Amino acid sequence: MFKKILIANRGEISMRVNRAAHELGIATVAIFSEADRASLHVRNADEAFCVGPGAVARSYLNIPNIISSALISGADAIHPGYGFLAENARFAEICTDHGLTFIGPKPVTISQMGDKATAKSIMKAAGVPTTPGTDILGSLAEALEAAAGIGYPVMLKATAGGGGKGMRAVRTPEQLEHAYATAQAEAEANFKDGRLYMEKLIDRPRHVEVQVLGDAFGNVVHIGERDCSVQKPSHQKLVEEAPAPVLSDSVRTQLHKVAVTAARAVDYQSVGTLEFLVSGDDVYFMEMNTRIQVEHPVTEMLYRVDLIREQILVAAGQPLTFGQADLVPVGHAIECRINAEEPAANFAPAAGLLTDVALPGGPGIRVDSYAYAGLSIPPFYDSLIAKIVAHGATRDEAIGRMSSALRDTHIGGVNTTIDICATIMHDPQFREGGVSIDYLPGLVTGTAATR
Amino acid sequence: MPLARIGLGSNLGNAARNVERALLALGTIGTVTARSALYRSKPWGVRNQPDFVNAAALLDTQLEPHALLRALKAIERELGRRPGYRWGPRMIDLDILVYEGVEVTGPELEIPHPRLRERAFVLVPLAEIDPSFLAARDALGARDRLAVQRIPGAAARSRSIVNWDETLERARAAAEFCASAGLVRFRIEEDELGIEVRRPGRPARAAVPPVSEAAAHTNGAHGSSNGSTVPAEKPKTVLKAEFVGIIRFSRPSVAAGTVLAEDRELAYVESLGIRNPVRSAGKGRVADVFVTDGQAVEYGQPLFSIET
Repeated sequence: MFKKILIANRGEISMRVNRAAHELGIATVAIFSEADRASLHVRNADEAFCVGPGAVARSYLNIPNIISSALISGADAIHPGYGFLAENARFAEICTDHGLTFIGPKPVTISQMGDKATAKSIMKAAGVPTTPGTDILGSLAEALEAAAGIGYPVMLKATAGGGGKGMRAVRTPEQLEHAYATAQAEAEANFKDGRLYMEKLIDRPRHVEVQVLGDAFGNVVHIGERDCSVQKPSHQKLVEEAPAPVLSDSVRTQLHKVAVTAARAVDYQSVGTLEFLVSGDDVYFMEMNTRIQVEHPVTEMLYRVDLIREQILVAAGQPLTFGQADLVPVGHAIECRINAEEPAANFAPAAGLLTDVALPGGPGIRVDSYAYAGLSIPPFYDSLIAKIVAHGATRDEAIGRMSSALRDTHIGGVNTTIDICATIMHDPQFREGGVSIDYLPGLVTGTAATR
Repeated sequence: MPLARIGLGSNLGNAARNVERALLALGTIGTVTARSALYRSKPWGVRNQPDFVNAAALLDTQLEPHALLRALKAIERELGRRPGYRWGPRMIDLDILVYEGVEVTGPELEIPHPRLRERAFVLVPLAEIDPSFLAARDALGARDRLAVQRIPGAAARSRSIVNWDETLERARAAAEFCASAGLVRFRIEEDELGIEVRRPGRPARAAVPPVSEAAAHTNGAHGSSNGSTVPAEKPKTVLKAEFVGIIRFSRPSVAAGTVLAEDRELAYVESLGIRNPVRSAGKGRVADVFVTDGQAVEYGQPLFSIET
């Protein structure tokens, strides 16, 4: 087992990993940027190293300083959290080169799944249903021709993409010309890789993803699905729940089966998530995330497992501590992301001093957060400040608990998503269940969103 | 509120500054009703160990002795945090010497401090602010007494502080006024308190000017209290680590006071097997050495300050 883990991340996920490590008796090393000196994740770890100034490229992506911190502190493993270096195969290799275990899948798996086009062809070969689409596009002319073949509407996507960056929905050839250039520029700016591919835009789909977990001994389990259809216009998730409501048993079973098949196809040895679009009874593989996800607590509440703990154990070469038959979901769980942002201004991120912080509690409530009154939210990073998760015996009970929890949550100093989340919890359409990814953009613009 | 006597000591980094910072921090867990000057004491019979800087303070606090101990330990950690160590070498040592009306005997805590009466570096500062220890101080041997020297610059800095927040607020306001008026030095004196703000002589930049607070009892004779003779502070350049790594001093190694005749490599930060030099920019004098040879350093950590 590891003796000391360096956590190459910040904020709530750094604290989440820190907790799991301490429960396993493993010491921790935090890293931080100059802008995060006062962050709680710095205080809670056993040791902490400043690795650079506020800008991400010089701190949380500063591989030499991160590796050096790990070596100096005598860490034997690095947990990347999510975002930043979590899906950087080169970083995983560099860890290995320095005798550090990267807590995640094998680098080859990361690069296969990180390249969306490659991922899709692997999945296709394994018999996983995929969205009709193209390989990497060579030019705008090629894109126009492909779109004509697939039929509009289509979606342009960055092959190195994630988090909604470099993605454009296109409904006409005229739109494609503009979207092609902007998506490419965005992908280039965010991922240093401007390559794009195209997919058929599935009409009003739901976003349903399946949690998988594999070890080095060939054991693979799925830990159920999550419905993450409540997404901002940027395709970033805001509300996630498990199990997916109003989903037919046959579709649910198919998703689980396909996810395990897919994970086996790449000999997957960590926690991972397969994202699907679901439209009626049709299921399309979108992408595989080879990291722990923001919304993992929903699954943990439903299945009473600790995914980070399992991820660490598997990385240390241990077999899974449970089998598929041990994994029985109980009740319903919902997560709301409390972000420092302005929903009315297209969810523009907000930064600044948190003057008041009151977080909820009570039966069935879990909060993962790094917020405290007096903390300044730096402008450099993602805007997530707290994840509130509610668990109940039924979906209605979970929604009721979430509503109370949101009413109990007070964050002063910056605008947040508390109110919009509360609105969603009270919205009849959401309460009915099964909304599509068009739901939230419709809700905020006030137009009638249809399922 | 109960009155506790706190002993402070440091011999790492900028020891005087560490003690001053700890005195400030005491204000967060109670009211510092009096503080001694800073004293320098030579460690006996030990070579190659830096001098200690000591002080004593009277703290009015609502914390019971064990809670006070925990609070002091928290301050020690806070001030002593160094990259790589949560429980790193202590830059500052805080001890409860006496706690009014309370005796504690236990493995964690003993009050009064068991070796209080043997230690010149504790008794000398303490006697300055608490006359009930004058006799004990005078009972020390001359050799012990002389090993503890009052630091001249900090002469007559004992004072009575009623409200730290207010004092700091006023110091900040003075600093802002000083900057906005383009002044280099500004001083306010009242019955109990003097606040002096100084800035480096160069034209103001946007940064908040350093606040150096020299407050004095009106009855305390103070060499510079009439103000007009304080020399302007020389501008300092602080060299900081750009890389996370181990700092290695280049030979001949520099110390506070070393005069640099020319631009030279003072040290290098070893990071992933690469030597990243730390150079002084031109001529100057080393004012502070904030690190020790061979220690871990993090990004942005102050290493040396150079007077130019």
